[in-house]
Amino acid sequence: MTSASQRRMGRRDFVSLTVKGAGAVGFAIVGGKFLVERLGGIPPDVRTQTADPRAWVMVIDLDRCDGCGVCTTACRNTHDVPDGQEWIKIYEVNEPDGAHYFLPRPCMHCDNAPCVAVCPVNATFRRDDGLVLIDQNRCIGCRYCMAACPYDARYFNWDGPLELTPQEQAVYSPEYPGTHRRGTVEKCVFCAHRVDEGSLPACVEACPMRAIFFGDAREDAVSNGSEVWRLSEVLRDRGGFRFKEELGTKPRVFYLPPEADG
Amino acid sequence: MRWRGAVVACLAISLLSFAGGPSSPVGPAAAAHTGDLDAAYMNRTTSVDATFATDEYSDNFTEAATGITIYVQYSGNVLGVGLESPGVGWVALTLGGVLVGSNYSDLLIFSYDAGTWRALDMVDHGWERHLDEAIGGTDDIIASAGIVDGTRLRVEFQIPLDSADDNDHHFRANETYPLSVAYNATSPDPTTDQTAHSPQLLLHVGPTPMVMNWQATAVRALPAALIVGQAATLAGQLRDASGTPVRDQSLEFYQETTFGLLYLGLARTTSMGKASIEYEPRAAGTWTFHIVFRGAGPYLPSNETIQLVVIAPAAPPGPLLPVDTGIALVILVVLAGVWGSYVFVASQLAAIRKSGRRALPRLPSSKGEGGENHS
Amino acid sequence: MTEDSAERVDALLRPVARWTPRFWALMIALGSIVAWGAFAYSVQLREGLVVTGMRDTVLWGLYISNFVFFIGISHVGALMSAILRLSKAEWRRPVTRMAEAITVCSLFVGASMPIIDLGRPERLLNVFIYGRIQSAILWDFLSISTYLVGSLLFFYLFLIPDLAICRDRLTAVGRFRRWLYRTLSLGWTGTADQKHRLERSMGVLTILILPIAISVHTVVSWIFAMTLRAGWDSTIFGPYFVAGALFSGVASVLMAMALFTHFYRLERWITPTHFRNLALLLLALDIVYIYFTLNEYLTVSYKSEGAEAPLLAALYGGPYAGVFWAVQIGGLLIPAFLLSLRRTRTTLGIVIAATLVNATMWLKRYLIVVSTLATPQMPTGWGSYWPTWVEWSITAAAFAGFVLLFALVSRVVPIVSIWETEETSAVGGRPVEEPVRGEVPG
Repeated sequence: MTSASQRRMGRRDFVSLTVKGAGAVGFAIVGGKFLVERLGGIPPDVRTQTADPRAWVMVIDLDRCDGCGVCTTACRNTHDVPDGQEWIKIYEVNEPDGAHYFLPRPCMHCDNAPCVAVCPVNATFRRDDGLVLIDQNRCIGCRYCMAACPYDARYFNWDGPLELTPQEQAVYSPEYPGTHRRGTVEKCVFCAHRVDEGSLPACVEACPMRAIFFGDAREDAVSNGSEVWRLSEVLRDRGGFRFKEELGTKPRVFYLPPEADG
Repeated sequence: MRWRGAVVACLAISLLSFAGGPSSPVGPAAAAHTGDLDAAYMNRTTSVDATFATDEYSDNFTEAATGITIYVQYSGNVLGVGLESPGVGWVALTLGGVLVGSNYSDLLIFSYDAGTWRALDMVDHGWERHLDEAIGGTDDIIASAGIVDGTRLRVEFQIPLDSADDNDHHFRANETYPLSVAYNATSPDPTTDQTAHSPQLLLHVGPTPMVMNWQATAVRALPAALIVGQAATLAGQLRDASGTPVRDQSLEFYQETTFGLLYLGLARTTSMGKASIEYEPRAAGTWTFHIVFRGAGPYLPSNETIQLVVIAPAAPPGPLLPVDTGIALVILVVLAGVWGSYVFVASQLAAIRKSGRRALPRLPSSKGEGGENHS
Repeated sequence: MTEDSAERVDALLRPVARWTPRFWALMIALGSIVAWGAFAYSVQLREGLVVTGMRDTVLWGLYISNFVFFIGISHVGALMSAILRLSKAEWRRPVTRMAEAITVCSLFVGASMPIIDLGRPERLLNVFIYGRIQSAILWDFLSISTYLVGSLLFFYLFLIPDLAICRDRLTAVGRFRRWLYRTLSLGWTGTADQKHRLERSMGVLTILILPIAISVHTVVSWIFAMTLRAGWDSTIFGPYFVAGALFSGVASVLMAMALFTHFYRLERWITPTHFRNLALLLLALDIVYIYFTLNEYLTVSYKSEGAEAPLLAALYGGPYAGVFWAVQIGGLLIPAFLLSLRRTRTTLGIVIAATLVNATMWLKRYLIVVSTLATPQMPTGWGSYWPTWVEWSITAAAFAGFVLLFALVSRVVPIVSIWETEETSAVGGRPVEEPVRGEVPG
């Protein structure tokens, strides 16, 4: 029979052994991680870096938007967006006080993006210039990012081809999601492929009402292709707001409210 | 003094029309037409080498009475004139005054005298004539050159449009002034009478294009270095071709952005020609601005491009341990503890097995040792 | 051992020694369901997740509901074994192994559910290679794997002496099983050194398993609580889920007890006292869960904030009202009555209550997942979700698989811990309620 004192001794032994063991293993892991990082051994995630860091923002003038949907079509044509997905989607809003307007909703490319926070494999990542992109080579299709997004801005490929052809894979990049694979998540990327070359996103150029503006917040200027507005001024004068500001996502899309008489 | 014959009759008229200041232009009637000669603004001054190159002058005019061909242009503050005389004696140009020989007209005489080139800046005073320098002025001929080409004398010279000398004729853009020319066919002696002289001609000085000089000023003393978030001033200065500040004109300010020019604002120039707007740089980097003058009245449009460097303010030091690493540390330490104890348990199991193997040899197969007490 | 106790040991070993035709029939039936589920999954792998009822609005459905449910049940091992061991509740002895077995089996089934839900299951290794420590899924992964290994060890440790008994007494079973008992019993002979080591290991794990178990369902709840969705954006999800897990776990043990007692004729070991004690535990957990539910819904309804209002309307009187009230009434209130009134606290009543609890807790998980996802976040209509045959098949296969595993375990090792129970009753024949020092047998 094991005496009580032996049992107590067992517990003491356990405590000391576990503490030593935990300490050793923990120190090894943590110390190793620190050393490697301090010595600059871990390279930064190169996907997040851009050659010329900007601060892209989009401004949508709700007074001009008439809900025609040309932006959605242009986006669809540019990226061959699968059926059922609308990367920039027009909502028709009827407020209780009688206001009626159309709300185009691209991805907000939030500074504090909940989708980036929850992705388990870092398939969705945020670039230096504010764009949130998705690496379809890495996405495991858990759809947690979609559950986390408060703006319904992400779409899942429920069906479709499983893999790309080698030619398609060779030209694939997160900046140009023109090919779509089953089991991965996709969304608006602010036409990163066009923006990187100095062009405006497809929806901005296509909008016949010239309602969508795009620009670099560091330059304090946004353009719809024909007009260039001063960002700070237009937000101040028109009372620009962000959708669901209270959630703290810090979206990069600003809306200008429709005028009272329109 | 052989001009006397023509002068006396007109003296009264000239005195009457002499209207305060040696540089007063001809009255309204003369201003209505542009005149015989148009001295237009050119980008280069003449090269004073007694050769009239193509495009060296903006205008030329052959005067009928004398046969003298006059070339004119101006650039900056320099009026360039060329004269081609049908003779080899002296040739003269009188500026200002109604008639040659009237009071205070600016008289420029050029001649080759026995191999010596002579260029004289004189003031005609009634029937007298004095060297400008002799009566307290300066010789304002900037440069001159002449050549006798067969039977013709060719002269090129430059005088300031607006010299500091009161004895000189002053010119302004967009104004018309009288002048006349005379020559002597054979004698280089300026005291001899002219062979012929012209009636009054009109010289029109063309508009001056505006050249802007800009300077961007910052609140800080550091030149061309602005700091993010701190208000600064963008200033431009509007000056005309002679360097004179132009007041009360609008200057527009634009910033060059990725997708177009952003209009920053408009400001009117002060008496010093300066116009400025407030500007708050938003981000660090090198930014390009355009200051644009659209042109007004006599002034041609022009613009200037500047580049400003904006630096970011010193960032506050970050946290010693970023949150993510802190969380990761905690998780790793906890997991290390738990899995460490699993390892401990596994070691205990291995020890049990070892002691069991010693105590319990491999059993043969079926017969059970049912009765054996394993307690 | 006395004659009496030898007979008792034999009775406990009988299900292990002999597999009845009825058991084989059960295995075949359950196995077919599992096979059918595997077929359904193969269809899903071939065609993509489009064969499910999930779409861009309700993007999680039965799979994640099952995941939360099974991980929830798995907490019973920690509760019964660890807490009751630490508090020296002697009556726990016959049921601890059932609880631990439920833990292990449900963990396996539960952990496979999110993998079935993945759009790209072949890329699962990405979680290892590129894993982000900031993601709740990573925490899930770490804690569930830690808990799985821990529960396996826990289950195994307390099994070793019984494995030795099987090795020594079960001589008529097949070669594989004899090899299994011999290998896994680690040559256990009950020497002082072995006992000492085993006790130390048991002590370590008993203490550790409890915080690990709590962490598991807390991080599972954080998958929802770390988002901004109405109904999920709640600060009490951690304790709420843990309470719910313990609640449904105890109900599962009660159901298992009823089944095994009946089919393996374990009335001598699992007495009405056990049912009563566990029923009281279930009642206590029911009250705790009601408390949490009130906290959750009352505080939100009182304010009825913008985003939450449509969800509450749907739950109280809208499309989800049926499920919602079934859960509250059938799962919380009726069992509370059944268990608190002495008249209804019969074995049958207790088992009915436990079944109600388990069924409604599954519905509750479904409600948590689906109703929030269906709630509109943007100016659009409600999402809808109808699971397809693929999802139902896989769900059925999950339950069948769980029962299959559990039944298999009960036929490979004695489902009542022999060394813990028989030792007690062998010492002077004292009834099982009296606290007796339980020891590792020699």
